[in-house]
Amino acid sequence: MATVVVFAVSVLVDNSSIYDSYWGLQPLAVAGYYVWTGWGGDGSVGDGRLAARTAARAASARADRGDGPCILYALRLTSNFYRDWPGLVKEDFRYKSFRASTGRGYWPVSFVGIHLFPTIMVYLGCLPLYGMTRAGAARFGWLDGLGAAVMLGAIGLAFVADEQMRLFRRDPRNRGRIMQSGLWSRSRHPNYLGEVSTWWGLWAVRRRGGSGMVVDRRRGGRHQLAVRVRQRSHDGAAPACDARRVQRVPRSDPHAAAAPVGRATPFDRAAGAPVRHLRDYFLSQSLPTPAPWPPTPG
Amino acid sequence: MREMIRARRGWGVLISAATYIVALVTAVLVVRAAGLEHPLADLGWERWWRR
Repeated sequence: MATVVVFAVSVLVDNSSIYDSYWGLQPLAVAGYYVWTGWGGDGSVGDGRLAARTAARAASARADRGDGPCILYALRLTSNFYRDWPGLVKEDFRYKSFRASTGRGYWPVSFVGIHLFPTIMVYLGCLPLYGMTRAGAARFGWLDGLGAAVMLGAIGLAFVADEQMRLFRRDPRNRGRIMQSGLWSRSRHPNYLGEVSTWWGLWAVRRRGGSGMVVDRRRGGRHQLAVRVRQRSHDGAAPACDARRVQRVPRSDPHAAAAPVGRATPFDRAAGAPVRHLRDYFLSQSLPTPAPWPPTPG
Repeated sequence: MREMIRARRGWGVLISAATYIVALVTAVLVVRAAGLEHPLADLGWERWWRR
């Protein structure tokens, strides 16, 4: 929704570069929102109970490891954009190229390619922040420290690279020449290396575990298998197992036990019975009684 | 009018800042009105991925 607002202003001022600094500010806004909702959603701490307050504080302390670098990242990227920005008279040369090649179809291309897709990328990249800011997040571990160090190092790398390029461009003797000194003699795009490494660092902070967006291949694979088998059994196409087999899949998530089980689909929010896990949905479905095995003759 | 705004850096910074603030407030209002703490997590994907 925010991207639609930014796009509308881009159209109004006829300049898609309005989006450019929005990219760097998004992680900060997302992190701030997650911290806010992690503390109770309305800015208060939980519902006032001591346990909720303690859990929220623990989550917030853990979030500092990811949110702190996000603040630095936003400051670096945004300041780098505005320091040499002459105003709306300038538009990124790549956007100008799009404008020239697409003609009247420029704004749909701008919306999808310049506004929407980058927003989706940033949003997905920020998913680790969600887990960090929830109550019950894991304690600080070595991988958290490594991830935070990678993020800070990457932000520093990009900052130095941008400053070196800025100094190079300011020298009129360098006009028409290619930057080949400093970090730019070691890497073709040290600024992009810093950008990419920042996101890997954020991923590493989150990778360690706790509540949130982490993909545990072993558990994930097992659960997905259970769901598939359940689906096939439900269809009657391959009664490979019955409901008891599915129910034996361990529930390692203490929060899942409190999840309401309803008969609505996971996507049917209007039904008033939110299903918080796909397995709850499948377990709530009535199955035909499995045929006895071996089948009785006749 | 548009040319005047484009010519001055201060207008560009002001418009950008106002845009981002309006965008942020709009996004928060929409997400909260929809009852979502997190659009993906509230669909159940978070727990699905964690298992």
